[in-house]
Amino acid sequence: MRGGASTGMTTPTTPAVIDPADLAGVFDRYARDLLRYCTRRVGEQVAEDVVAEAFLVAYEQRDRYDATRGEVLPWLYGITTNLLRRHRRTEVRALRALARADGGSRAAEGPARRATERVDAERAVGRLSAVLAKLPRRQRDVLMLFAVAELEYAEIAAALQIPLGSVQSALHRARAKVRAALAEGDAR
Amino acid sequence: MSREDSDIVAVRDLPPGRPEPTDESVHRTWHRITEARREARPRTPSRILVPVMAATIVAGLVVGGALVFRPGAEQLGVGTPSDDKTSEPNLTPAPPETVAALNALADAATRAALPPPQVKPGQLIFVRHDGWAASFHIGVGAAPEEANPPKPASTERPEAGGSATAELEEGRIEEQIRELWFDPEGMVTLSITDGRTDMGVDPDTERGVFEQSGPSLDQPTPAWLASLPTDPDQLRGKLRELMGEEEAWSTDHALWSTLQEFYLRTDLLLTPELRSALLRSFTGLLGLTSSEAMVDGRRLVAVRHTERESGDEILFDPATGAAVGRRSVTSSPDVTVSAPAGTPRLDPGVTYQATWTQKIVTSVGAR
Repeated sequence: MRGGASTGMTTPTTPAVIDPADLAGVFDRYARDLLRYCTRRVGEQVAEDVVAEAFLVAYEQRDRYDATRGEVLPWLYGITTNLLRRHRRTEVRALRALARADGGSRAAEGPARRATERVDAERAVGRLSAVLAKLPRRQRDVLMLFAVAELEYAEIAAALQIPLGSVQSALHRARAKVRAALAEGDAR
Repeated sequence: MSREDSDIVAVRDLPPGRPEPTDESVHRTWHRITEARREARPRTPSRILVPVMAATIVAGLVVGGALVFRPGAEQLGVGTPSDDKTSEPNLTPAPPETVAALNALADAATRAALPPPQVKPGQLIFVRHDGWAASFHIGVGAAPEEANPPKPASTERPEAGGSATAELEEGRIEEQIRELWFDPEGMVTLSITDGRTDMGVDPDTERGVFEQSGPSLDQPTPAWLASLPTDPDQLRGKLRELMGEEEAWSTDHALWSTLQEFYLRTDLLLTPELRSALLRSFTGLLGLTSSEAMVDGRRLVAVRHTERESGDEILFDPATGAAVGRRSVTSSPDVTVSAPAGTPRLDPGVTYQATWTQKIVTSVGAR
């Protein structure tokens, strides 16, 4: 939802010069983006811890920010994604919990259409969660930065400090697995 | 390929029903920032060795040649630290006494001719790091938080009293011991302890970066070190090229900051020729000054880069030209540093001071 207007709580799209030394200003502008990204990965409570630390790290390392290599937001996402790696178990545990929702879906055989649709949706969530939990860390980071953070390829490459080709490759592989999982559900 | 493709939408919407961040969540996050305390963090050596915010958040620098020489000690005559407060990139050439001090260190390195050990496959570099760090409480804004709670970020800046600049308050000197084990192939951090307990590292991430990016000042290898030029001018050009251009900070500031880490991990691997060439190459860097420093009873040469109101020093042994430590200095009026009983009284303005020893070992845990 980067730059989106529907919620009224997203990052403005107007380009602006952001000084990483302006901690409060950077926080104002980007906190919600980072919280949204982290909350989807590790839940609200851990997300707040991670985002707070990310801003402190960014401020601490502000002399390393190179404006010629990209905007502040991808740089912040890079720091945040690195910090999230400490919480990999939390993320995978949550994904596996969602994946287990697929197991008890026998009610799909019931007559009620709404119930069937709900169970189908739960199954899709379960399959998707199972796939995400099994993704290699790099592929999951790239996929989440593309889908949730809505970064461009070059921004993901800058955030993760990896070559552009690696971003494309990781995203291609991750999406292939996600599509396969979703297609499996459609075929049932 | 579009972000509206069904697979991307499905990932974006997972888990279902996840709401947007609330104002309360934003508020709590900002509160955590304001409540954060400086403490060592086990992610990278730099963040472990220097307490959070130590090197960069501190405003101000030591001024007026303020290093205190111990009574009775014969001074090396290597100059005094910069007394220029610089808010812009420091483009001041090194003064003659600093050039002389660096050349003297280079001569000492040549004379000492410390032979670098041969690192066999599987061997590691162990660094024992003895430091004293000022642990600060970080405050943001001028007014006490109780009297002026932070506002939700979506409505107005979470500042108080018109100031949104992070400020440091009183710092207390604390001992900071670190033991580090590095894989010499990329200087990947394999383990860090505080002298007793493991602090947790992420070698996979570091190794992944190394495999993607190759050797660098941040992640050198013995072979890469051997490939560096030993002509001082060529070497200086190479070092600056490796750093690239900085916008807000000078290239030489970024280089000096990186060299602090570089020496910490790799000094013992330097040949006498490269150690000497590095020191001579520094004579052409901008923003450097030098002075004598007494640290743990040792007389050392402190070479400082001053910029943006902070000073970063590398401490050299005048007998060998080897880098043996580092310091961070400040003269900000907002910063006060106290030394509790049992801790050393650091030189004025020093917020962080450490010396290190390095050796080749066979495994993590070996010292």
